[in-house]
Amino acid sequence: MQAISSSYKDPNGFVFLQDGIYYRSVHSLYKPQYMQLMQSGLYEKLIQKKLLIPHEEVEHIPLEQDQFVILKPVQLPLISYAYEWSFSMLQDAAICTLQCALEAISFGMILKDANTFNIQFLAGKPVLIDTLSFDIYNPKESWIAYRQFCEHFVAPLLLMKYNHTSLNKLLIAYPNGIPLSICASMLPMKARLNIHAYLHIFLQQKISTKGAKTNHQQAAFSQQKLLHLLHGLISFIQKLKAPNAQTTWDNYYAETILSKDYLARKKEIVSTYLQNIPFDTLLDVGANDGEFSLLYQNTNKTIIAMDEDRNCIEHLYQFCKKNNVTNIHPLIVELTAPSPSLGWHVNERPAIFSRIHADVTLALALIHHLAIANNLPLEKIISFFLTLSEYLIIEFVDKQDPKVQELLQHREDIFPNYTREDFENILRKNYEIIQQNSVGETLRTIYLLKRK
Amino acid sequence: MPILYLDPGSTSFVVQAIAATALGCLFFFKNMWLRVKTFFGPKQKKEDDNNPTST
Repeated sequence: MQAISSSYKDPNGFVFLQDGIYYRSVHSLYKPQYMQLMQSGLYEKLIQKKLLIPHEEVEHIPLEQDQFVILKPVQLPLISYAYEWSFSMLQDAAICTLQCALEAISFGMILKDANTFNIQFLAGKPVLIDTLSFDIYNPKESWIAYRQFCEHFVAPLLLMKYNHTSLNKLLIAYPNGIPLSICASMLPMKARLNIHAYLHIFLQQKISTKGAKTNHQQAAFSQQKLLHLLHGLISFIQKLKAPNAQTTWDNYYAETILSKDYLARKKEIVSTYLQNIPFDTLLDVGANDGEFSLLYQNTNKTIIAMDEDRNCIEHLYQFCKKNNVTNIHPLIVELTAPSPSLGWHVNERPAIFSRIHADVTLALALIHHLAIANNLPLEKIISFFLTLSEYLIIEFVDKQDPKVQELLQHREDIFPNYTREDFENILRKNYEIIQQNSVGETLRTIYLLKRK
Repeated sequence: MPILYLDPGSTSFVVQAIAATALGCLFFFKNMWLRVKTFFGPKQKKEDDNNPTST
C-alpha cells in the first residue's frame, strides 16, 4: 500500500488508494489516541454534529507491521481546496475546525492540526477529514495548532473582508498558510482597530518577529484560557461579513436582456438531453448562480457547479445551505487560470481538473467568452472539453448575437473562423452529434455530443 | 525579519496567553453589560444569550 502524494506529514498514519477506494492506515503509535477518540464518545459526538467524516474499520486488508487498524472513510464525491471556495465556505470551514477543537476538549483531546486541506465539503457541509488530527489534551499546554489556524483561516478571511474577496487565491502562492507578516502588511489600518484581528494577526506577528523571552515554567496555560481563545475565535469568525461588491455576473439571469422564454426553453432542452444520457456526475462550467445545476438539486447525481464569478458561487452556496441542497458543489474556478498542481514535487495538491471525474459537462453561454474575450481558438476549446467527460452539452452563440456584438464593440474582429460551420466541423472530428436545437428565436444552438 | 530557528511554540504560547486573557476580559465585561441591560431594561423577553463563556 502506497501513501497518496499529499499524505506524508503525519507519522501516525497515511491515506492510500486501493481498487479505487481511499483508506486511512493508523500506525500502532497512534493506538492510545485512536482508542480515546473512539471510546470516549468524541467520535460519536463529532459524527452526530456532522463535524467529522464517518469511517468504518476494515478487516479485509491484511495489516502490515506497525499498523494498528485500517479505516475506510465515507468516500468524498469531490476534493476541493480553500482557494476555490467562496467567503462563506471558508468561514464555515473555519468554524467547523474550531467546533472540532472545542468538542475534543470536552472529551480530553485536542485538535493538533488546523489547516484548510483537512476540511472538505460532504453533503453540503464542511467536515474534518483527518481522523488522526486528535491528540491527548494536556490542560497546561496552549493550542498547538493556533498559529496554523491563523495562517490558514484567519489571515485569508481578513484579507477577503478588508482587501478583496478574491484574496483566498493567495493560498495558491502560500499553500502552507499565508504568513502573518504578509497578511499584516496587506491589511488596512482599520483592521488594527478590530481587537480580534489585532490579537490574532498583528500582535502575533509582532511577538514572533521580536521573539518571546519566556520560559515555560513561568506560567502554565489553562483549559479556561483555551476555551476563551476558541470561543473568542468562533464568535469573531461567525460575525465576519464579506464586503458585498457587485460583480459582472451578479443577477445575470435576473437582469439579462435575454428573455424568460429563452431561459425556459433552454432549461427544457437541457433537461431533455440529460434524461437521455446515463450520468452520475455533471460538471457545470460557467454555472453562474447555478440556474441549471439546481435542476438536479437533491437528486442522487453529483453536480459540480463552477464559475469564476465569486458572488455567483457565494449566492449558490448560500442557497444550497439555506435549502439543505446536499448534492451541489459550488466552486470558484477561472477556466483561463484554473488552480494548478501545488506543493512538494508539484503533486501534493492536484490541479482542479485532475480532481474532477464527470460523465457530462454543461457549457452554456460560455464559448463566446472563451473564443472572443480570450482569443481561444475553437479547436483548443473543444480539445479541452474532450478531456473533461464523455458527454458534452454546449451552446454555440452566433457572432451576430447581441452579446457577442457587445464583446466585439470595442475591439477588432479578428475571428473569421468563429462561425457555426467551423464550430460544427471541429465537433464532427471529435464528437458524435446526438442532437441539436436552436434556442427559441435567438441565434444560439445547443448540442448534445458524445465523445468518439 | 522573523527570527529563524526560533521555537514557534514559545511565541505562540505568549500570544495565546495574551489573547485568551484579553478575550476573557471582553467576555466578562460583555456579560456584565448584558446583566446591567437586563436589570434596567424592559422585562418582556429574555436577552439573546450569546455569551460563549456560559457553555
